[in-house]
Amino acid sequence: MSECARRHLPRCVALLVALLMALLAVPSAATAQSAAEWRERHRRATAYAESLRVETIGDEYSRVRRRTGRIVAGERRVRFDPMELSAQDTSRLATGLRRGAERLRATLGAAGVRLIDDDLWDVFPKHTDERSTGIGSWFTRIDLVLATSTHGDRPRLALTVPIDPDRVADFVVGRAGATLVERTPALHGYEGWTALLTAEEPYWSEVPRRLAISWAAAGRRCATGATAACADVLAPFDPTDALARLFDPSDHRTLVAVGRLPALTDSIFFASRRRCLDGADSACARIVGEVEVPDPFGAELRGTLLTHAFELGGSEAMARIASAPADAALPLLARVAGIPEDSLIASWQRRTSTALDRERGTGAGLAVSTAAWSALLLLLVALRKPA
Amino acid sequence: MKLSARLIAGGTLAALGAATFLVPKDSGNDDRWTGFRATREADRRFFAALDDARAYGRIAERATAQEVARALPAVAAGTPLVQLDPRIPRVVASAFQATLAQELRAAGATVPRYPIAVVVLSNGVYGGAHLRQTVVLPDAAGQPCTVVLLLKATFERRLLEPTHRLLGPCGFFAAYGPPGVATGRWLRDAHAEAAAFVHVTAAATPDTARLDLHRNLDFIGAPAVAGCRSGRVDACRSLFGSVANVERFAYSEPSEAESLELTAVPGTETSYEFWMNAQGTALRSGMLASLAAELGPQQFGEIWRGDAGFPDEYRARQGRPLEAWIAEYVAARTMPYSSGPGVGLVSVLLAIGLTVGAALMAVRRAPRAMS
Repeated sequence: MSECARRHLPRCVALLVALLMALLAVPSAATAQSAAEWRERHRRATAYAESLRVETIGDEYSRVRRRTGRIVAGERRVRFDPMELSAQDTSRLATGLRRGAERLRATLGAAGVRLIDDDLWDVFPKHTDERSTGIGSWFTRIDLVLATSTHGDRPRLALTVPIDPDRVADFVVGRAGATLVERTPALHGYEGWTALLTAEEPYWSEVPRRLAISWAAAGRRCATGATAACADVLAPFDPTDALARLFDPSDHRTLVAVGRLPALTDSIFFASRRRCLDGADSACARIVGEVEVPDPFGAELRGTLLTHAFELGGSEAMARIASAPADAALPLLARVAGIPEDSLIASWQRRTSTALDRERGTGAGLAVSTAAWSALLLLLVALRKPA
Repeated sequence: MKLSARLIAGGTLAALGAATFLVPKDSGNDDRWTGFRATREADRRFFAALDDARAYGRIAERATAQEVARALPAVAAGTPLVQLDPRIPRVVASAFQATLAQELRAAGATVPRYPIAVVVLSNGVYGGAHLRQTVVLPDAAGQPCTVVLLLKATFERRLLEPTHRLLGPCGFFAAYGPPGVATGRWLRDAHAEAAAFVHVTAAATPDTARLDLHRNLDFIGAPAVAGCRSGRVDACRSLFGSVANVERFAYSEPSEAESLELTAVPGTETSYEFWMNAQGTALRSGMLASLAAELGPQQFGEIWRGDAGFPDEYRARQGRPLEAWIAEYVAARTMPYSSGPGVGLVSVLLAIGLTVGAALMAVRRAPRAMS
């Protein structure tokens, strides 16, 4: 070994050892981290994954960029992808939107049309819709979906090609009703979608039928014609006083059976519940306050009152609702209809029971058919020669 | 038509048919397929990135839990320390306390024999779960066994199910006191997978749930269970260790984040939903709880606290290897199962015998048939 090499050997060895130590130190430094540092790494990794998602499987994200087509019907704007909507369907869609606006103008005036002015609509393609039942699933053909992007609940309408303008018009009117209810805090307990649509007869006749078999006493009393009970049924559902307002002691057993239960660990409650379901009324009365009372009627049933009030109110309904103070729901609806509260409820009762009567019919057809068959059989018996 | 003409016509048709396979496909189709492949590749990258992000989320959960456990005040045995985030609604908080009390009562540990701490934090869950549980095992004797429960901000009382076991492996500490040295080491090494909860529900007992391995081999640790059921002693032994972390990556190499998940914060275990749920798939996670139920608290406690570790302590006290108990345990909870080829040895021999017999008969008959 030369003199030079011998002189540099210790330095080389030292350098080598230092390099080795640095190499060994790197992994341990990489793993020993605080929770905040790990959270930051998680945040960065999530952001990276999200960036890949938009790039690849976020079809809806990327389609928004391609929706360069515009339909402008009055103030209403629809975005769509020109590749996915034919010229014929574009004009049918515009017709539907125009018809919807015209219907709103005819019933509620200019204020009605303003309800849908802020809406931004989107059309995007969808090829099938899978519906699942307990035993299997079937596919419904859906070519396009019309959706409003400006509302949180994003209502959607499934369409098939060629587009039916009347369905689009119905959707526009329904959307306007929902917006109206959204903007009026007193009406939040009602389903707004049907408020401005002319509901079909079966929809109205279903109301007295549901009330007659309701498990809340107020509903059954309303079905027999008690206006005060109907007022209880039609006021927005309030769980705090629902027990006293809508139910009789005879309903308590059903309430205990169907109401949402408290914690499953409460064995005393469950023992009482068992006794109540076995027939002990005192046990029912004791624990009925502990179950969460569900709404026995639902926003759709109450929504029929909304529809009725707007039909009665006509074109002045919008002006009345705008000038009304922040009222309770029933007085507000009476004001919209332009009649006293009791009259509104009484006319709603008449309307629903008339629908049911009309659906039942007079029974004339059945009577004629019975008489005809009886006469035929009697005639045959009379003509039969004895053996 | 003559035979030769027919042959020529047939040959020409066949040649034409073959030629269609030689014509190159139009490029539009090719583009479509390459596009499809590219999308799949991009999907694969996205899901790999998502897996990594989730793994980092779980590591962050573990690290948070460890920091929370270190910041706790000293805990005495006898009363569990329960800390609840003030943001949690009162109804939810009282439900957690009731469930904890019930779990301790069921384990016979109303007065815990080891310091236990339960910390419930709000608004700290990564991913979609409503509730995640991280257990920080004690580093040294006397440190509390800590359970950190992270709730989503929207957690409701009904999401706390009666089968949830909030204490996790800490339930064993509460019921049987500090484990022996080897058992403590085993708990950390095997990620406490066989000791997920101290009390099994009736739903998990063999009378009601016998797993059919022929139908269901799609769960973590399934090969070891199947091996043990078909009589392999080493498979039974591996069931007691940590098979999940081997099996989890059986079909692909673990990514850097997934490997880190098991090593970055030692002594902490993050649960999956089933892990803390004493129901259904409790075959492996309920193993230690079932052993305790079988032996009784006295004997199990001695084994738990013994210094030689579970297998040796069990053999010393029961006079037979632990693997024998595991084989019985698995046999009682699964339907009969045989591994290996689907056709039994006897059937194979019978088939070969019949074939050879038939061939011999044919050979013997052949000269007579020809003459």
